[in-house]
Amino acid sequence: MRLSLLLFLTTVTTLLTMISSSSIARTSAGHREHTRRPIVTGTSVLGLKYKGGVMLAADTLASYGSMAKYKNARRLVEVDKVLLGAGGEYSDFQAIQDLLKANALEEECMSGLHDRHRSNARETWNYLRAVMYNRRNKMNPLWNDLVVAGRDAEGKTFLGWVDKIGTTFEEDMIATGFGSYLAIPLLRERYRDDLDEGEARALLEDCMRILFYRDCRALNRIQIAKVSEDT
Amino acid sequence: HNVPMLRLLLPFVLSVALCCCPSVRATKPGEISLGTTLVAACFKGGVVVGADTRTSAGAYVTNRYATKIASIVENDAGEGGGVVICRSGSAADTQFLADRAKWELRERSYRLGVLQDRPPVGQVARLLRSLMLEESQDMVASLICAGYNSEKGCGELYSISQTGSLIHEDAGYTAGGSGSSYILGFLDREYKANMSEEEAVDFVTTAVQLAMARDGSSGGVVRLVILAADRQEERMVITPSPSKASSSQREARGTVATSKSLPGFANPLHRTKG
Repeated sequence: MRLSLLLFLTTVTTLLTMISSSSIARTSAGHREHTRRPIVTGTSVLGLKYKGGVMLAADTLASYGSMAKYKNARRLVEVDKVLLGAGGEYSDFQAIQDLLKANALEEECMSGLHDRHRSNARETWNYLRAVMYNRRNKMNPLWNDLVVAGRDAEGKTFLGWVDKIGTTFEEDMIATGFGSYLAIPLLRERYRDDLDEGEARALLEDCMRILFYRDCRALNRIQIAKVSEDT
Repeated sequence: HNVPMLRLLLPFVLSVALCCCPSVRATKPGEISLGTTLVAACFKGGVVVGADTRTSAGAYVTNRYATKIASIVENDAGEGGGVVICRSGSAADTQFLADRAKWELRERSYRLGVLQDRPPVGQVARLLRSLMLEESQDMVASLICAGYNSEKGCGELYSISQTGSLIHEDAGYTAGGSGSSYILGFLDREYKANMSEEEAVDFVTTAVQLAMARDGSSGGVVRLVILAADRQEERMVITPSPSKASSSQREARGTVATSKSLPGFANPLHRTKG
């Protein structure tokens, strides 16, 4: 009778743990991976189209929970003539950069320096959509909100968003994280088709100032990147 | 034959029992919290108390100019002394404690007469502690109680933790709030007994500024209160970086308002004063 009681209790506990544990995703190599919460995180990224170009802004902070741990982190990056900005888990952003660089290198090796296919911002944006959506389906997302900026195949300026579940859209002004609440109203109020570069930068800096005031995870040191007429 | 059965069941019973034990409440998500930095230091003839001014709800700054130093005992102008508390934890709970303590002390002074107009710091600290213990299950509050002890002729500091431990900080300095972890080493290294008032002000200001630089839940400006034998003074320090930094470092750490020209970028047209 003691034995049956013990057996019953062990089956009950194993059933409970099986039900309560999150679904287990596996990598292609068969290693188990679970969804994780982000540990080292970046906050908002802002993007704005202006006359003849597109500009991104982000602060240089990677937070460790509530601690402002890494104050010199680059959250805006250029990979193969495409600007990429990310909020969210910093290591996942680095993984995305590595992925894009590896693709560019492979293309260079396969097709040669002159004849290789040069990717544009819209193509990168589409590719990242596929990457992010695929990871989301495996319940193991790359925990980032991405902003992609540059030029598309016809040479027109491009600004688009890809988030951690694979949602995409393109717009004249984009903001992630806290920026989507605090900066978007400001950008919408002051946006014009014919903003020149100085005005666009001033507008982005004003938005970054508001974010520094009101976002606990913001820093007052920012990075600005642009794709302008001569690139 | 019942005993072996009990031994089998014991681990399950214990785990259930532990889960039922009452524990200290954690801040609810979105609750207005004084994630904060509080520093207090005694100097020769008084005590300086400093705090940041950020109130947050999650990651949003709801008030960037809050007052976290509440005056519990205010003496008449020119009389000095007095007791203040520094609040950290839930904004609602600590505001309640401050108001309630003030009320209790005034009521006590009516009952006991004029002599109790100037309650000693220790008495105020113990009163606060007993108020906290009444509701500690549901309260998220941790306080620093600081004041000038006219009998001893020096400042006095008490820390009251979330669960109600009252600690007399006889080392002469203390720190509280989420930002305190980042500066405890700095305080341990830099504190000197019997500092002058200006040294103590600089010490506390620098400590709060350093914590604000690293703690996401602390920010804004530095509010100071100086309690000495002859006065109570309030001050505010706006510059974000400690004064010992060189001017070029201070510029680099300046706010976004000072737009610098970046190579390859057109000058931003819109300039605001820093």
